[in-house]
Amino acid sequence: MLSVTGLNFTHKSSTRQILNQVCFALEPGQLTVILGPNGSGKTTLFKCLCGLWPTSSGSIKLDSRELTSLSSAELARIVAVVPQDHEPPFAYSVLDAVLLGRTARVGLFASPGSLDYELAEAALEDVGISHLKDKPYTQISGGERQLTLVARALAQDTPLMFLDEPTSHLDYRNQTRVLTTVRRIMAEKGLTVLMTLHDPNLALHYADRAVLLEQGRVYCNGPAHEVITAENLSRMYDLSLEVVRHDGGSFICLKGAA
Amino acid sequence: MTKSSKSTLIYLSPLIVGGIALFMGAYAIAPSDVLRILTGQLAGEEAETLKAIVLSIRLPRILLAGIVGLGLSVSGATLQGIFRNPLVDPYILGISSGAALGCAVTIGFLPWLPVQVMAFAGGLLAVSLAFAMARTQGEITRLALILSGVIVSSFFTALVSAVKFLVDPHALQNIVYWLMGSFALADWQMVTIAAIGIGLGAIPLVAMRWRLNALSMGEEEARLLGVNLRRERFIFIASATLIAAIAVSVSGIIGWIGLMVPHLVRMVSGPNHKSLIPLSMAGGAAVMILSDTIARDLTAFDLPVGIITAVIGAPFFFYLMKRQSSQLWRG
Repeated sequence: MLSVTGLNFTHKSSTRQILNQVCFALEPGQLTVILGPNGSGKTTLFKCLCGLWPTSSGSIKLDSRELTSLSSAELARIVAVVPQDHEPPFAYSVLDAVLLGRTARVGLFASPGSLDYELAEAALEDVGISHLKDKPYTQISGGERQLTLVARALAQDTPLMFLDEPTSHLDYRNQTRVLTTVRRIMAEKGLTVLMTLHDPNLALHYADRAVLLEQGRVYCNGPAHEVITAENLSRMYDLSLEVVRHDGGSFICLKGAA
Repeated sequence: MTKSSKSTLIYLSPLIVGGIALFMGAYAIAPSDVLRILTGQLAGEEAETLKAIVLSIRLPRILLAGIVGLGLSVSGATLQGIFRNPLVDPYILGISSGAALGCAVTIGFLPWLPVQVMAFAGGLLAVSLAFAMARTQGEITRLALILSGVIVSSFFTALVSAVKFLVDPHALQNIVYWLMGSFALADWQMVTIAAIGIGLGAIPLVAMRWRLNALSMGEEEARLLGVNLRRERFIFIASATLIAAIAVSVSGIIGWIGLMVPHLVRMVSGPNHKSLIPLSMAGGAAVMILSDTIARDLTAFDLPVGIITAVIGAPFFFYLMKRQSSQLWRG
């Protein structure tokens, strides 16, 4: 599994330290969420964990191997990344977009074979959008596009899945749809999932574990309901928040709002 | 008509257009005679002239136009995919002008060297410059890339003019004539050079064509999907450049084909590079043969085919720009 120790990150030609001695580890089969205000280093940490940005010092280990020692193809066979919603340059069909998840397994001089097609179709089935497979990827809704990207990550057939703010461009219904789907699939396939999120309530509702990031440091790290508390969040966001309990669930809201 | 039968038609189009083009030309030869020449049944005194016209003038010219059209289109389709920009081709990016400079320098100063060497070097230099200039702020935006292409193009065109100014009148004449972009000088030797050079460049493009889909998702995403970005991008760009440079070395600068054909093919069979690459090759061959046949038969003069492609291509670019403007300016 993934473990991070003493991770530091500073942009080239800058002295400001974006990440400072970040340490945490993912628990197998659990959904871990990275939560933090804007500018806390969430995005930078995510880019480092995906192997896109080189860290200044510290180590990111996948099982026993150092992340930096892996080629992009090797990494793509361990970690599938769901990027934030993006606009693709060409109107590929949804199925063709999902097939891209097979890039690291298809040979340099080859095209996807029948196994790849089966896995891609199964992934579309898993996220529940098989009916869209021949639609142009540019003409489906934002929520459907996010699900297509989740299907692409599933077709990648990796033990780990990272999602970069999967709900940021979605309306409330689609946020729920995407996160519920991810939750269901990770249980079915025994995946380990890491995601960055903005909304503490979504984190509280869907995550097993949470890492709170503040000014490039891990402020708190542990089981979601122990870490996502009114005190921690009030300090982190500089707001006065309270936890409201209702019907066995907990919700974070502004003090006095409920 | 279904998608697959349309695709079949595109694959057959070079043979159909090329076959018809064999019967057309400034020197009127009866269609029945052309058929008899092709089957080797025409004999007699006058037959030698007619044979020479069909087999040594028309046939190599049609083949050369076909190979160059195939090359420029597959080069354009590849560059559009790599740069995730539907508005580029070897001409827009300045590769053709870079190659032209290489050719002009060779004709003017290094007559002992095959023109293809410097053409390739010039093309690579041009595409590297356009790439580096467009890249100043992280990911390359569409508009920045096109502007860089314009800058590189005019820079190399100016250098070509400087070469023209410096060389002797005989070499000048050669450079000017060849730069116009024409297949009028086609012979079997050129066909061989074009077939080998463009074939060499096209092999990796065809073999790796599916991966262009992943590369067209942008640099970061391609890496996340497991693409060895630097290596694969280099192979694609170098191959596309080699093809464009060879094309320029045998027929001068012929613009717009590499921009138009991939778009026409996408309208028929969709954007997946698995089918786009081979279909662009076939479609490019057919469109170029058609343009050249129009160029040599429209008037009594043999018009440079580059004029025909530009007259069709520039309005086409305008149409694409209108259609995509919202995306284009957003970068």
